[in-house]
Amino acid sequence: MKPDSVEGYRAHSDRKDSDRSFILTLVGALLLTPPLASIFQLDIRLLGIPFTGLYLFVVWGGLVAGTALLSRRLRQGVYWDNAEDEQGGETGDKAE
Amino acid sequence: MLSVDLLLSVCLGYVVLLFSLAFYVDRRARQGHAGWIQSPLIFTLSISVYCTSWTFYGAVGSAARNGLEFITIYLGPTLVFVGWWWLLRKLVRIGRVHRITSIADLISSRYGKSSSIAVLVTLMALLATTPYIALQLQSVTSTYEAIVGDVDVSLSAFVVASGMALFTILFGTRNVDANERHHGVVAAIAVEAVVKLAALLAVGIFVVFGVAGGLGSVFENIDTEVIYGAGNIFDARWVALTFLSATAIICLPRQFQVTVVENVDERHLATASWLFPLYLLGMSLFVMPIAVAGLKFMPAHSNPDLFVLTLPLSLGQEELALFAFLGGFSSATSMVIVAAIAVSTMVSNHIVVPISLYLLHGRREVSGDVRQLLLISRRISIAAVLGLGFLYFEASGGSDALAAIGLIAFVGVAQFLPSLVGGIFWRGATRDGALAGLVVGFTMWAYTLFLPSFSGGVILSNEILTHGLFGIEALRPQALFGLVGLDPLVHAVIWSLGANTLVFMIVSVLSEASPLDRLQGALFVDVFRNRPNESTRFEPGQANAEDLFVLAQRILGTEPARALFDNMAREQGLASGLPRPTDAMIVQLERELAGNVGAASAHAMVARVAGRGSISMTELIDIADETQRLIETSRELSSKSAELTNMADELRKANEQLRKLDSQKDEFLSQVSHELRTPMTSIRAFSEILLSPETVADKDRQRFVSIIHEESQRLTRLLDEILDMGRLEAGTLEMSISTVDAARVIDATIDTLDGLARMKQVKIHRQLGPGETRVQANEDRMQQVLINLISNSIKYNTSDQPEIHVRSESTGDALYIDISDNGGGVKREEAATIFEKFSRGHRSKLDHGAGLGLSISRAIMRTMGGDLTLEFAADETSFFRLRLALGSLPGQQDGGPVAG
Repeated sequence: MKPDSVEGYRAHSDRKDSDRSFILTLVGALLLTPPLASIFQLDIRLLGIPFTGLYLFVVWGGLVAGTALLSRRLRQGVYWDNAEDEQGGETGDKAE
Repeated sequence: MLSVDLLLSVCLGYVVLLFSLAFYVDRRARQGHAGWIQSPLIFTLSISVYCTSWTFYGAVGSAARNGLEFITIYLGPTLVFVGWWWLLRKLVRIGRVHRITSIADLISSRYGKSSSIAVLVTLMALLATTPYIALQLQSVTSTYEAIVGDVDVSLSAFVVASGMALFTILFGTRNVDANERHHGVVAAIAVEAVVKLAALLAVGIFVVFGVAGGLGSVFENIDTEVIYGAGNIFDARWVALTFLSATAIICLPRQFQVTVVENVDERHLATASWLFPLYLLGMSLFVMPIAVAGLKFMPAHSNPDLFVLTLPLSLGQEELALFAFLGGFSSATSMVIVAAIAVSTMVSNHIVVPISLYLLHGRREVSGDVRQLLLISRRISIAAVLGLGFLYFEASGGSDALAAIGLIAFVGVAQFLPSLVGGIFWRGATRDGALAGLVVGFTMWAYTLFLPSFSGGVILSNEILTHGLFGIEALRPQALFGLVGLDPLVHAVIWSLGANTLVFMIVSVLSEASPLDRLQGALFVDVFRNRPNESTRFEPGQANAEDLFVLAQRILGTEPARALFDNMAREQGLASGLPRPTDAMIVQLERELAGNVGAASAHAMVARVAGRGSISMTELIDIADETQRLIETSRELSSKSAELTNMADELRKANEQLRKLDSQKDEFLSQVSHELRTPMTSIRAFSEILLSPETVADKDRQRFVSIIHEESQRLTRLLDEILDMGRLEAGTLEMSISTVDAARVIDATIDTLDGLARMKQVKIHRQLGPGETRVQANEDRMQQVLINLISNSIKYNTSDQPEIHVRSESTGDALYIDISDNGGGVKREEAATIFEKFSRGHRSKLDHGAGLGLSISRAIMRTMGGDLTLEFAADETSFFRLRLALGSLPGQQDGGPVAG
């Protein structure tokens, strides 16, 4: 369904982003645990570094990057609008 | 070799630095310059209390023993933060809305502010945290020992514990409001977080690039088995560890403290969601290389748990070793400080305060300031928690593998998970379910993991460990009910968490939730949907505002309490005095107090004063609100759908009407063509005969021509009628209306039809009633109608002595002309259709008319403002009745054109 207002559009894209965040977590969990992870337990080395270790760190880094991208979008989403902020608000923006 | 003096002075300097920083930040914050301390970066760094000395030293030890397995301890938290939107955000929101002070507070608050759950969770947290604190003390003393050699372990542990207790009491209990951020503590922790990361990275970089000569060459000549661990690394233990660490980042009291309680802005979570996993990644980046290098360069039997420190030491890098020591020291102290704050808050709020309140029960004088009591109890609790840790350290005499203790604690706090997650996502979870789950899970944990970890030293003897309780094999702690061949940790996780979750769910389903339980469940589960502090409408009138004020004064202090009550009075629109003790006011007060003493205690206190033991009307209405909203929505929906049904009905009717009209039109057309066809056929037939070369007798010719003439006249008449009909129906026939004397028109009509009547031997009787006979009409058209009706009566009369009666009578403002005959009339069943086009009465079987006469007559009458109807007399004989409006048109004697 196509949203027909600015709020609707924002809520729609937020919904999408929150779904993405869920999928990212799911994919991360699947990639880092057996049976999927077992595929990458290989006795080879890249530039002298054991492959499985490299694999784990690459997935990890990917998760960090993906979360950073998504969080930036979710952070600006509509869901915070009804958050009752006692003292927060601008303080969050300063440091980023 | 580093000198003792140098090490001590550096340590002391570092500690002084931390104290001053905490002091400075605290003072700045209290002057209202919180500023940078409330940034997402500091928030993220404070979450890194997750990385204790177990991580700092122990991860390398674990990597040296089991290879890559150590990573699981970081992967779990990473996944939780990647999915922050789904769980952590909700926890933080609940924590903020309900002024949650600890994980025990959250769970007990969810389950109807149950104090038994609060006490249970507190005890469990204390039991799981104590060994963990001992572990930190051990790491500090053993690393100190590793640098300076022989030392008095007990003394140094005691000094460290006291120092931490002092720091925690100084900066952790400045304010009684546990809900307020401890700015000084957070600042110190943030600095320590940076120090430990920098130290580990420094050691790693030195080892990899300074000693081994590059990342690739570190792993040279190292067996894959060392790196991957023995066998398959991605086994059940891998999954269990990932799951446990994910649980720990949520359930560890200290993590709950920094993530939920100390959170000042929900949006900080968005930053922490990636920054914290990045921090963890940084912490573990060099763990494996350091472990491998340690195995390579260190003597065969050196303790891998200390590689981070001993590797630089043995390579002569004393400054680096010192830095590493500070890193480990930072990891240990930050964990201990936050854990002490978190656990002592629980102990104080859920155990000490309720007991003292019970003891002080009945003494309501203002002088008994609960604030002071709270502060003292929290300080004593901190000292007690650290004291317990120290005692545990003394008693255990230093266990060898650091990681084991950490994991035991993880499984312990993981028992909170079912009640916690179930509580915030499942309305049906009940207090009994949570209580049962916690007890069962905790017992299982103690039996299968915690007690066996003493190797037969405490409660469970070696005998029981190997042969089971009472000698029953099935009750062997590490092979419960014959579940053998599993890693003891996996075994314990399966039994404790599995039983916990199952019991929690089953008992929840079987037990009834109390109203307060249900209310809190609704508030927690729907925390994103409920508007906070909704206004309320009921006044129970039981509570005494003065009593409440005294209570608030004792807990919040005189000034804050007065400010709060003034504020509440203003909100109620009162100019002065105490606020009315409405439910809204009581709920708000309870929430304020909960920020200090926890929900369960606050509820108990307020309930005692306000005399409200159970859920109030307002709270029930709040629950109902949710239902109410749903009901309204569904009502709106059903009214909408009813509207739609109506509309569809109307459309269907209109459609039917159109269909009917359409078929009427078709019928009309076919009738017309049929009517036209009959005369056309005879005209054509006779003209063909006349055209044929055979001679036709003159007499016949004459007859044929006259038939053709008659038929064409009939055609013309028919076409005229159809034309008239069309114009009348379309309303385009212009008809001038004037004042006409009806009596004269009737006379003229009868005269006109006289010949026909004589021919048919029909007698026409005329009975004109008295009174006005002048009507609004068009004379010619009126006559046309009368001729039509009377000639029909003449033509179709089948009586032996045919008679026609024409009567007129004026009543009110109308003149009625009735035309009746004794020729059989119209049957009642024909009455409905007699005026339709092409309809003929039963009498006209032999007629040649088209059946348009009556419908045209009626249309004419209606156009003139009158009507033509078929009426039935008392004896069921039918007659036609004309109605016409009486009187003359003012100033329009001759009549102008009036559009039909």
